[in-house]
Amino acid sequence: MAPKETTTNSNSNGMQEFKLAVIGGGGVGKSALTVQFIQNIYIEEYDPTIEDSYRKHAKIDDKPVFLEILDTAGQEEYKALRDSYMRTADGFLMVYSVIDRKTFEEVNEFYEQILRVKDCDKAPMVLVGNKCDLESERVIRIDEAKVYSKQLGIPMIETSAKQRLNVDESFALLVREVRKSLKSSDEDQLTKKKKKPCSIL
Amino acid sequence: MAPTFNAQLPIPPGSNLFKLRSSLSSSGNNSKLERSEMELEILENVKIVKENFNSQDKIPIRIGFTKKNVVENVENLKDSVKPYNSVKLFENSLGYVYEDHWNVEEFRPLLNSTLISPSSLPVSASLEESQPEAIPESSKSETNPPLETIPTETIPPSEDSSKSNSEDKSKWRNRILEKYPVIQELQERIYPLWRTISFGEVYNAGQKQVRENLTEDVVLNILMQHLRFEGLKRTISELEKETKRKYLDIDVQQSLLHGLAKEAVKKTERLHDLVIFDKFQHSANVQKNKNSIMKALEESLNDLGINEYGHVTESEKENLSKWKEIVGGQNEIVHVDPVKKYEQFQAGTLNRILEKLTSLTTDQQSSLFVDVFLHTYLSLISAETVLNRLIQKCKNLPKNHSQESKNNIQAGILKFLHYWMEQHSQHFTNNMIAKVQKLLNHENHNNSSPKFIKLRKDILQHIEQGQSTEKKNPSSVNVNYIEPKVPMQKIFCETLSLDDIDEEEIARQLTLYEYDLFVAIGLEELMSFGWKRLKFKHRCPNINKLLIHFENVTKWISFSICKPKSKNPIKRCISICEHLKKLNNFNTLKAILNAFEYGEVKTLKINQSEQANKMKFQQLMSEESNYQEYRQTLKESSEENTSIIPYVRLHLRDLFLVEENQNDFVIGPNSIEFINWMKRESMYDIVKEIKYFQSLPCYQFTKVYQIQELLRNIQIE
Repeated sequence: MAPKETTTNSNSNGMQEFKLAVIGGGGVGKSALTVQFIQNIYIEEYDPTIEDSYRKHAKIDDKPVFLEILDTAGQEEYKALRDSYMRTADGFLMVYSVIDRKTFEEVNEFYEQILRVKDCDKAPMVLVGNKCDLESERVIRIDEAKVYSKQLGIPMIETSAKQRLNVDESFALLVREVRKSLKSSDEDQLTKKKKKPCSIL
Repeated sequence: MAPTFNAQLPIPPGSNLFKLRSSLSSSGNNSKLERSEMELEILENVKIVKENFNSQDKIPIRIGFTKKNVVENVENLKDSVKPYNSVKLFENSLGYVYEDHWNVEEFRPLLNSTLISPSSLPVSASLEESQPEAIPESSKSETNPPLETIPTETIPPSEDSSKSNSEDKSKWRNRILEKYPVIQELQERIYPLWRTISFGEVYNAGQKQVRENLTEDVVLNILMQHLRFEGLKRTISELEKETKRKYLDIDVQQSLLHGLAKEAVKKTERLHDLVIFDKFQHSANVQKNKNSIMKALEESLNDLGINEYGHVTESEKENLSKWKEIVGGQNEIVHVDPVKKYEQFQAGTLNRILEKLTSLTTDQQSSLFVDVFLHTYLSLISAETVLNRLIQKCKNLPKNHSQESKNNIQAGILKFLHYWMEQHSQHFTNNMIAKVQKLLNHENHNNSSPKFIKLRKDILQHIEQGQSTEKKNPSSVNVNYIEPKVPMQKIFCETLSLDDIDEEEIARQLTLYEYDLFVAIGLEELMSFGWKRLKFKHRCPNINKLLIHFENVTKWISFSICKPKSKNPIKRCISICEHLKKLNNFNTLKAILNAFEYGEVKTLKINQSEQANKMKFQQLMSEESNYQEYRQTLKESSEENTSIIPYVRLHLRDLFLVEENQNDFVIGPNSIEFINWMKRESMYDIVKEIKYFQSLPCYQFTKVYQIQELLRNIQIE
């Protein structure tokens, strides 16, 4: 497991490379969020078939990182695919829409599935409440989402893909989470290595 | 006192309520009752809603009462008369409180009042005092109960009752209702409306703004408008008297209540979904009658005036006016590349686009333009709208033009029409063909240019041909069909299972099965986006079948791998994968690979050579770099001119992302909305690819009926 991790997480230049998956119910604005993040300006033309339409170099906390973003839009109904992309991704942006309670309730399903597929009790995730510009139609209050995210032990942020509010921040938050989890898993391994000889002795 | 109330609010003699009352004859006095259609009318209106939603388990919709369940309710009452306050309140997803009618009706004392004669009730003095104010308040609250909790505060505390106020308050409603059965009857009448409101709440229909504005006054007014529309003036005046609210005239030519109910049906996404339940997908009866069911639904929707085609166009009239041109104004945005001398049309009004479509130039660029339009217009406007526009254009030629230019315009339109009919004959309904014929016969008289006459003849000929031979079967009989590999001993056996069949043959049969579905995917399916938009689900049956099959294959493979008895299942699957790869069936290949990602399968041990083989395929279909490797392979194999089934889901996703992420309209100068042509072009690129794969020669295998049946009914035990 350990050697595989290192190969997937850094390329030949030693730059970190993360695969991030954007997940959530239908119509929450996953692809809008992704497109906004990848392309800095809102453009009329958008070609999803181009190979690097989901790849981006970014500098987060002064450390360069290469991000590949899995936009799962358009296939969320089909659960057979979920396991596949959940296994490959390093971090997850769990998006719900603040104007649709159903999508908020679906987050839990995703959360549990991720932990099950990843087979661990913690995975780098960020809870994202999208469409926060639609204040008048809001049904999920921010404090409610905060309480919920605290329960899950993950950070949360509200975004607006339309107004490009907190879009970069949400991805930066996730990258930090991924880095944190890598660090802690490294430390785990280190302590194990240290312990081993002791136990033999 | 009670009889006078009865006289003021007549009960329709035909209603169940009436029947029940007379059968129970508890109140006795019904001589003064008058006929009023009010209740029946309301029931009728809300029936639409009911019919379409009664199968949804979550929604508490049941309107009106049958005699049976009223009697049941009454019987329940005899055992225990539960107070009204025990009605349970539920919070819906919007945080609104409403009564869950399914639960309520179980124990609700529906006809409490009709059973207990008011005079026999011991009435406390304090309540009698507070009664005049309380009646309007309580009846008012009935019109709009879901929006508020029971408004205990709204009762004005009368001076005399102030002593016992603290305990009386909670049961005021119960007592009032017991004392004045008429209020309860009024409530019964408003009940359907009440249902409608809570239905709206559950379905989150409408904006918050609307919800805020929909106060009881408004609701009452809408109700009264409906009564007025039905000509029930007396009932209105009674209602006005009761509620102490004046009817404010709404100047609408039709019943607003009716209109709103219609709107509610129209807005909901689930309407079509409910008709074609996925769970009945395999039920033969539904399958057989599906077309007639869909037809009946579309027809009844048409009757209601709900006919949407293309998600942008809600009503065609509205859109036609929206696309009204400003004469002489700019009607297009063109990007000109000065170096290459290339003009890129970026956006334009519908009229400008039609003008370009019907121009007589025949260079490559303009034919591409026509193709782009014909492949993608369905997501924006209906075929009928386009045709109407063309006919309009053909008839109203600009007067200041010379006869020759007029002829040219008409010839251009005919040329376009001809091409359209030739390439996309399935877009034309009988109605539209009749319109075309009418146009051609009409224009016969004043246009005599040879070009025009020739085109006219061509089109009429085409229509005739199309009608005589509805389906052209391109059944290219090929002699070189490959003999299927069938286990001869078992093929006619009832216990035949997919495990008995050779891997290669499974791959072939899977491919044949999916190829039929894939080739059947039409433009109108792609342009409806029905695989993502529940509302239009019925418009893309083949896509849905294909996607469901995809899912089933994944489940079946993962199941067969985990099955305890099977020997070397992984090797078998990988062998199937190899054959699928050879056949260029990327869709099934991905479905099988997905099975390996299932948690249960993942835990199984795989030996190294198998692992290497599996990785090879997984890399091919991996989502890395946006399916770079798959796209590359697809490109290479498509050049070989052999049959291909692409990974359909990816192409559908690409198409949907274009639809989602680009605007249909751009705002041009003078703030006119231009159709975003760039979007059409990017959609065309994707659609063209799918169409190209469909046009490739089909697979040269023979279908084996028994295996096809097994695949059709892949069942996971």
